[in-house]
Amino acid sequence: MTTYIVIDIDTQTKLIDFSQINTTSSQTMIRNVANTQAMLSYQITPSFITNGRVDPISTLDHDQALALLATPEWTQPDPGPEE
Amino acid sequence: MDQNNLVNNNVSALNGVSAGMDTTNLVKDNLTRKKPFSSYSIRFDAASADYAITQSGIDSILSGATSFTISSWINFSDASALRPIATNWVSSSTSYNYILRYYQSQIQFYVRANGSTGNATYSFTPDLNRWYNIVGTWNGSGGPINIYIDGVAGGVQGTRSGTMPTITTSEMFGRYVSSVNYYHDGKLSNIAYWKNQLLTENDILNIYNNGISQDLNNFKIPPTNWYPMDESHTYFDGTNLILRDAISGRDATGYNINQENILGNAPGSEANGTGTNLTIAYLKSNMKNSINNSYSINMADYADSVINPANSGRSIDRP
Repeated sequence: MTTYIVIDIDTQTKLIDFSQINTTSSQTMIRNVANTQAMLSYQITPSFITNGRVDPISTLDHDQALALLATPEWTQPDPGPEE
Repeated sequence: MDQNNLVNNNVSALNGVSAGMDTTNLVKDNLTRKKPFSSYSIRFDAASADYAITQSGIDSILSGATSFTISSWINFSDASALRPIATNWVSSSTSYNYILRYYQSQIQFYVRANGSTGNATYSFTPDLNRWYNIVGTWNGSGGPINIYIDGVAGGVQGTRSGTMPTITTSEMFGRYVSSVNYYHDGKLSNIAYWKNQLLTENDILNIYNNGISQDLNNFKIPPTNWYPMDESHTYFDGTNLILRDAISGRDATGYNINQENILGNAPGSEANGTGTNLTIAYLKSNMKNSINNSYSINMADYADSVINPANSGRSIDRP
């Protein structure tokens, strides 16, 4: 079971130990359109969540994560593959 | 007496007798059904931004192509949004080359050549958790762009004549970079490229192979690049999952994916088990009628670019 968390990029990214989660690095985490929040995922709860060092904005399951990603804050309709 | 007298009614009273045919009418069937080549595939999670990418800065697979064919196997967990299959189309680099994707109940295949874009579309609403073989073909001579689903051509043909430019941006699997990033949600398997080869409908029906992946090394036209994305052509390098190119070594690097993403589910092979909390130590060299086996641990056959690489005697047989 994969768990997804949404974090504030400015304040939380530096607290993430990427070796404990699925996301490879801050360069590959999925971000909202405003580039203020990011979504991370893991199967086993990382210690930075257990010990409270990282304070997620929200914790989601897969369906909830996809629903969030479908909102205008996180995605945009593809304008068509034209430059 | 002749062969017409050779009837054994004890076996079957309904034998057919041909007329005007002899042994020269026997042709080898080019459709086969056998054990799938791949029993595992790679799961891509859109909410985790999973994707794989080839090296940039060198000529990409289709650089300068005058025609090509892409074959892919795709399985959707979610089809409510744009789901890319294979792309080399990066807006930020103004590098527009091709896109094979699912979007708005269509498979869409875009090809850019001589500075303009053409595209084919194929109306398609996938069943979730089912494997499909999606193939795109493009012939720069005359320009037809076609899409095949499970070996069948359909949809609206596109047109774009010309030659693809020199391309140094990466192939991406499961990701399309536009104004935002789009990711596949589901599984991908056996993505193969035939550069400067336009496969025929019969070839593509053979690739579909009744829904079973096959060893493309033995295909009558071997691909130029082939990513099986299975148990034998994928490994974790300690940081990233590496997807081997079984033909030419142009490996793809996975991001946000690891061993957990290798699933025992592939085209024609959907009921494999996946171990949980099992390590290499649980692999025992003892089974019925075979009790004296040995196996290596921590030996790498693919230890390129290191001093004194491990050599188990099959160093050219990369996983």
